[in-house]
Amino acid sequence: MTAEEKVLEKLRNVLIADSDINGYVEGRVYLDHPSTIGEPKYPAISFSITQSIADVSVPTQSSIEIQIDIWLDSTGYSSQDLLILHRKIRSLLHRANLSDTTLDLLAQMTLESLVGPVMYEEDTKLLHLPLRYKVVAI
Amino acid sequence: MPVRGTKLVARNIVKYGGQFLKTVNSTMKKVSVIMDNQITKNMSLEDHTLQQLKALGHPYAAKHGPRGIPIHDPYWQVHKRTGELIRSKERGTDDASINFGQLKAGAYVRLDDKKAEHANYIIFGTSKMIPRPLLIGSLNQVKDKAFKVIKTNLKDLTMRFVTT
Repeated sequence: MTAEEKVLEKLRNVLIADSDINGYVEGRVYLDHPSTIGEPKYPAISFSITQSIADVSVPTQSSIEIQIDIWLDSTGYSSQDLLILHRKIRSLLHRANLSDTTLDLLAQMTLESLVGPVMYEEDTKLLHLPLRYKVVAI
Repeated sequence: MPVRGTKLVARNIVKYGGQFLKTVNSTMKKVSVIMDNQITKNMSLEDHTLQQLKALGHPYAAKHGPRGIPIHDPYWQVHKRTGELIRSKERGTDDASINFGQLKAGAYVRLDDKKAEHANYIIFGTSKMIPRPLLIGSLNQVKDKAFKVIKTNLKDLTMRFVTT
């Protein structure tokens, strides 16, 4: 597994383990963008890596920027649900040290760097809240 | 010799008056211009028409992967079409101020989504399109240059604080 894959796996495990989040997404925390999945179902959370830089002085260290997208079907959910999920994700990931020996992750520090606007897609009727996190993984 | 401690900074700013804040403001203005130029460059691609992008299979579709089909580097650059996105761009500075001995100042470039409704969809993506972090990506490209401007413009003043 690459450092990026380990990080995403760890983040996925943390989010799915939370009963409030899983109550919404029912296991649908996608490691890739939902459009890469045949028939994505919503509510869902997905990850996109926007930048990944290997640290030259520490060969096993990577600085990764991740966009975490929350997707909700507007016919059943409101923007308030987006904000509830955001608060929960932030409480789990912001400033968290998520070391995991089973994934061979010695140290993974995550920091919320940006909360995007609540967006609505007319064609798909989806509500979308993008979050950006910076992760340093060793 | 660096300035250490907020008391020292605050005491010297009082001694030197508003000239220091003026210098900070003009420096931040230079930084905002550096950022603006880079962002403008990165959102002004004219190497593909809409028809060409369609023929290429919509390179920014997320089904091609997190960075789409690589047709330019960095992948998050944006083509100029009507010019609406560029016209939505605003740059400015937050005036330098001292609060509880802490100096605060800022420079920014932003896209106004009231002037260009599609701005957020480009930056953050959609359920079908990849996010293209144009603003933060451009900032990362000029970060060293901006730091150098700050260091060059504010270093002498800072040193004077200490030596007098």
